[in-house]
Amino acid sequence: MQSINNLMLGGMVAILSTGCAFSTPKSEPPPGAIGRANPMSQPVGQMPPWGGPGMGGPGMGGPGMGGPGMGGPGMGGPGMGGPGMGGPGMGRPGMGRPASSMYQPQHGYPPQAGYSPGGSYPTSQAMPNRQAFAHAVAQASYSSASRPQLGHASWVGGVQHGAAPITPQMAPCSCNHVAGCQRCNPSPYGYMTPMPVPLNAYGIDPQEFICDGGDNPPHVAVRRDDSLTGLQPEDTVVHYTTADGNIEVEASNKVCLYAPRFLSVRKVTGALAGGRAIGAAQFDKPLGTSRLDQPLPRLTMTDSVELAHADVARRIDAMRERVRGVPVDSVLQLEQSSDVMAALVGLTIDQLNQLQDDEKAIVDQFSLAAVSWALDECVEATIEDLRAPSLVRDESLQGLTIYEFPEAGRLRIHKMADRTDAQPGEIVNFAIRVENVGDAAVDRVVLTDNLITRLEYVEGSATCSAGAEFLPVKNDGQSLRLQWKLTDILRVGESATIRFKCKVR
Amino acid sequence: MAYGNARLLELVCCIAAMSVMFSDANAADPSDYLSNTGRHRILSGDMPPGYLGQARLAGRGLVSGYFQPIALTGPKGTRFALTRNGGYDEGTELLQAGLLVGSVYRFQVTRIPLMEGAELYPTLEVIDRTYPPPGLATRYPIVINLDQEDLESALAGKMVTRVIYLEDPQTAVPMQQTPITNRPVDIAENQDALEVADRLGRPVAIVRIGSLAPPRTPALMPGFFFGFPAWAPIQTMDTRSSHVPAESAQNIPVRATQPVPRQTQQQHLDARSSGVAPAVTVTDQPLLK
Repeated sequence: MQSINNLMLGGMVAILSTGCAFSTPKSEPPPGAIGRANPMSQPVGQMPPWGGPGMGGPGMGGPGMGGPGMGGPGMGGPGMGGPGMGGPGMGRPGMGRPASSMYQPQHGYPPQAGYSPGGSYPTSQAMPNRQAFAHAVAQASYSSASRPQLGHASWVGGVQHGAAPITPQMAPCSCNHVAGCQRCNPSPYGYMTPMPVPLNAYGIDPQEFICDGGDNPPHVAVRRDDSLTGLQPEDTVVHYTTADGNIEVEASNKVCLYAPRFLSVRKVTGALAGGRAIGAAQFDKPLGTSRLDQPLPRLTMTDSVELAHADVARRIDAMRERVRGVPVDSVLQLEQSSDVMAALVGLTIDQLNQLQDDEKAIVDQFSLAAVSWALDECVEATIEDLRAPSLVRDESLQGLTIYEFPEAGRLRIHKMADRTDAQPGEIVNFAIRVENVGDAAVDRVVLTDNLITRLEYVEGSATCSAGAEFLPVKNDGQSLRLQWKLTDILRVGESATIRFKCKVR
Repeated sequence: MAYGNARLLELVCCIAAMSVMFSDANAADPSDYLSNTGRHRILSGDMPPGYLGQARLAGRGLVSGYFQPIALTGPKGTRFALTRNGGYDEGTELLQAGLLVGSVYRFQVTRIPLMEGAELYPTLEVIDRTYPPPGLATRYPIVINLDQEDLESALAGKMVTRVIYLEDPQTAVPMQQTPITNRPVDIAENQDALEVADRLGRPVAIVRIGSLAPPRTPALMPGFFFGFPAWAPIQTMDTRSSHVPAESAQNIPVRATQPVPRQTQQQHLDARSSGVAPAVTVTDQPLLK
């Protein structure tokens, strides 16, 4: 994804640099030269010959670039690899020597067993078959990239294919007045020395490697039930219990295999595309019978119709009036009343809303009495008896207890593979070595290897040099989580080696 | 007065042009990697051959001039051939070659099963390269496997676009992938093959299979063959020519540390000195299993 992001950015830069972002299709050349602003990628038939005098040869401009007519005398002969193409002295006199100080060795590859990016390179006598195979292609890239007419030097393949990087520390090997100074081991396998160009900074793609081992974040931790958390695919860890009771987790190194896998996305378009009918276009099988030839016997049908509803309007034909009696309550009232005021003789009206003068004294008396009664005073006394606090410090050494713990044991785990590259379907042998490099024995050693998706464990291939209980469990990556529980205590200096095989998917 | 009107008109035009230019500023934001519409922002798999490769050449890194090894296979019996001397040779069932990144190659497909006499001329555009360790470039080419459905669809008048991508091992398909079981990810017409491949890995090549035939006019040939870009043949070596017995040679694991047999080296040098052998590479085993 990142590569395409960069690719798009590069495309944007290219568009902006041309100054006409979307007008290219209007003035585009024939299909062979679509979008080719770089003279490097112009069709040969529409551009000057690549090589020029002594470089491209007469066969460069015409059809058949990859054929015998491609190379020409100066280019390298038939088929990009004929005479002069990969010869030992092929390009050096004509192409010149690069400035070695500008030449930087390639960055290292992911850490893997048996591979040292900055290490020594084999000589031509010890060149393996595949390397010779590869360098021929790399060499072809030299010749095409190092044409001086193109205005740029793009030596890429030689670095990737193992041409020995010339470090500035290397001293000149020999000097003469004809060929100038030559460096020792300047061009292995007899290839010409690449042009001094800045190397590709993106020389490694981790997607081309399968890595297994290590402890990727989040880091592995051990739960109370002795299970692991944070175990990611690729992780290879060992956890053990030291003599003082601590549980330690140690991760292995990371082992990487060069195993790129290519898949594809397919889209089918065209005039007929989309014509795939989802539903059925025609039904050939008729549904139901179109005609009945068999006469049905006569049926007797009894239909009883009942009156469902009837609207009948009836009039009053006779009326009988009955008047009922109305009840009457008889209320008797007094017929006569006399001497009414006699009932009011005993009534007395007291007027209390007016304070007389002779009553003020009484009021004052009673009010004083009320006041004297309300005040209930008594003597209150508080006694406080506080003493000054005193602080007494009386410290002395009661005793000294020294707890002595034994030195903790420590495990070192190392994972190895027997190869650094693998095709899909090939078998890779892995070995994991656990060694006690501490000062005490460790117990309950559990080694866990969580295989990545593209590594398939070969059943029955696991062996262990010590007593162990092997537990393969399916993991989240549709592969297996291999776990070995050592049954014995791993003493100081002791080690256990586990071997198993995996098939590369 | 006329001069003033002209200046005013010029100012108005300038303001209008600037407003149009800045109105599209949001679309050029590089942080918006993938648009909301599901389409690739700048590049798509439906672009004509040559666009994506050219964009890659102008992008990051230096890939121009590198011959990326590829391996092209198909249904059993199908033969593939690249241009040679303006034409095609008989072809091989396993076509291996080093192709220039950014160039478009028109190869020939013949002897299609159940399609006697039919020929196809698809295009192959290498839009990115791989970065193998030293000595492993030709052992790990970009594997392109065309199946019978591709060829039949193209012969039926359809256009088949295959975007080959390098799979991300972190999100790899958990199944064995061989040239036989290597099934493509089929997408609908409204989807962009480049975008889907970009989500699954790193696109490295595009194969477009149509029913276009070579033109009869010689003047149109360079256009049809995209300028006859250079390519480097990769030839497998027969192990029987080695001094190693055939039986033991089959048992020897293929390792990068094995030296080339002396006889093989001599043959290689002889071939280069005589100018007979067209191939430039030699290996000890077929590149694909």
